[in-house]
Amino acid sequence: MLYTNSERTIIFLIIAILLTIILVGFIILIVYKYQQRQNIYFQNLEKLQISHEFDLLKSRLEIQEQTFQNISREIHDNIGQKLTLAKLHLNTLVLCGTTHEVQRVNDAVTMIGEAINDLSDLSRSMSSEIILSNGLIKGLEFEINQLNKTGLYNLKLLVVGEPVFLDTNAELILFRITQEALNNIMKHAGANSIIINLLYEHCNLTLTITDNGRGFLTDKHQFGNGLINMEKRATMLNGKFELHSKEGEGTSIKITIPIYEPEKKV
Amino acid sequence: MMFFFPRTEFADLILLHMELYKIIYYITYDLSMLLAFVCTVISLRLINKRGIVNYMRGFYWYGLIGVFVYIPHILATHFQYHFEFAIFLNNLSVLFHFSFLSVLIIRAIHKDSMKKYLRLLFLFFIVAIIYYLSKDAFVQDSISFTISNFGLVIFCCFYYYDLFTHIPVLILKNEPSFWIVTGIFLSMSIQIPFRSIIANLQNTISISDYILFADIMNIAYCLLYIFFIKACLCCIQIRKEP
Repeated sequence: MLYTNSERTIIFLIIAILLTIILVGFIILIVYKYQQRQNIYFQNLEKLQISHEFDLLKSRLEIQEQTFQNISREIHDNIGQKLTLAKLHLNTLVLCGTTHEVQRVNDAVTMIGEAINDLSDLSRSMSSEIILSNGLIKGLEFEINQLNKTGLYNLKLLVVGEPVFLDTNAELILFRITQEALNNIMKHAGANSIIINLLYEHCNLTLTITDNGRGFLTDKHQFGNGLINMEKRATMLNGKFELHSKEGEGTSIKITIPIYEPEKKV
Repeated sequence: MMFFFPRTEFADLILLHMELYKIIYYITYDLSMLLAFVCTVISLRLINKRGIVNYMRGFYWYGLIGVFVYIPHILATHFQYHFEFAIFLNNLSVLFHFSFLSVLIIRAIHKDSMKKYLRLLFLFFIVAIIYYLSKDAFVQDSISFTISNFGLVIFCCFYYYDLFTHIPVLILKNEPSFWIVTGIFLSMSIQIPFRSIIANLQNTISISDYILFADIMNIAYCLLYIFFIKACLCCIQIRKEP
């Protein structure tokens, strides 16, 4: 069929317009698909980075834990033994000097005894044995007793809910976070009252450490290594780390971790 | 087939349309020349600038050499001045246009294995273009233009394929190669059917259709230069970033 000029013109124009629309559609599709692919790629990259960071942190924690174990064993088996032996030697001395000299030897025996006790406490605190055999609550009780003994602090442990045994690593990480927090309080907060709260819920465990110290401005960019480590450790447990502090109003650290497959504590 | 206009008014309408097409032709032609000039000026800003991607180095040559073709072409279009010489230059320019842009696309592609095949394809198209140009260089040769457009569209498709097989780290809106290739792809794809019609049915199509095709191709060139300008601006922006 022959077309007139006008008809042909319109047909050509329609072809041109349709072609342009199809081509533009094709370009839009390419951009959209590429964007989609890019998003997936960056998501995977991010996951990989997080996983790498976790592995790195895990290795660091393992090394740290191993070092703690070594020091703890060294204190217990070597230094502790030597001091005990020294104390034994002093105790078995037949003293025939003046009263003053006898008194000095007795003082030395007492001091060695105290050193043995302190070292023993330090060794137990560094060792993960207490967590492995008795669980988190006993570990925290031991830590609290240690600090209460100094007479400088009034520490309380509150356990709410029905306690469950967590994975040993998780309990150890929480224990180390608490130690780090207590260490920070002793070094910087100037607090005299510390409350450690363990809240066991259906699927979460919340650990809160609150002090009545001087507090500080919570600028995340100025977090010290201690706080950053605590946050990273909490992240390792898929947990959430929160810090609330105001100048003059104390500090509160809250860590919430999910509890998977809980075992009832016997 | 329905009629769009009453048959009795055809003769007047054709004349009227032809006048209209001519006006549109001059407008689109001048606009494309203006955009080509702007593109050349902007591309000159890339001379000796640091931090420019490799394939964009020397991009200003496209505009600069284009000027030597445009000026006689403009003179011939508006004043019929040395018409044959302008057509001869225009015919020759297709060789430069094709080789310059296809080499740029090949350089922008990441995969070396793909580049190898594209070089062979490039040689094939160059030979084909030279063959058709050599027939009569002083007559407007639509076949060589069609081959050039077709070749460039194929190169663009390879670029898009490479884009999807390479790690997707490019930010397309800031990627000069993407803008250049998209400009070429759109412009050449729009031109291909009309260039093919001119090449194959040169004696059967009417003058009005011929002018209409020229209008469409001018618009396609406008699109090409707009995308080239955007690509140059991307390069300048990237360079400005610390």
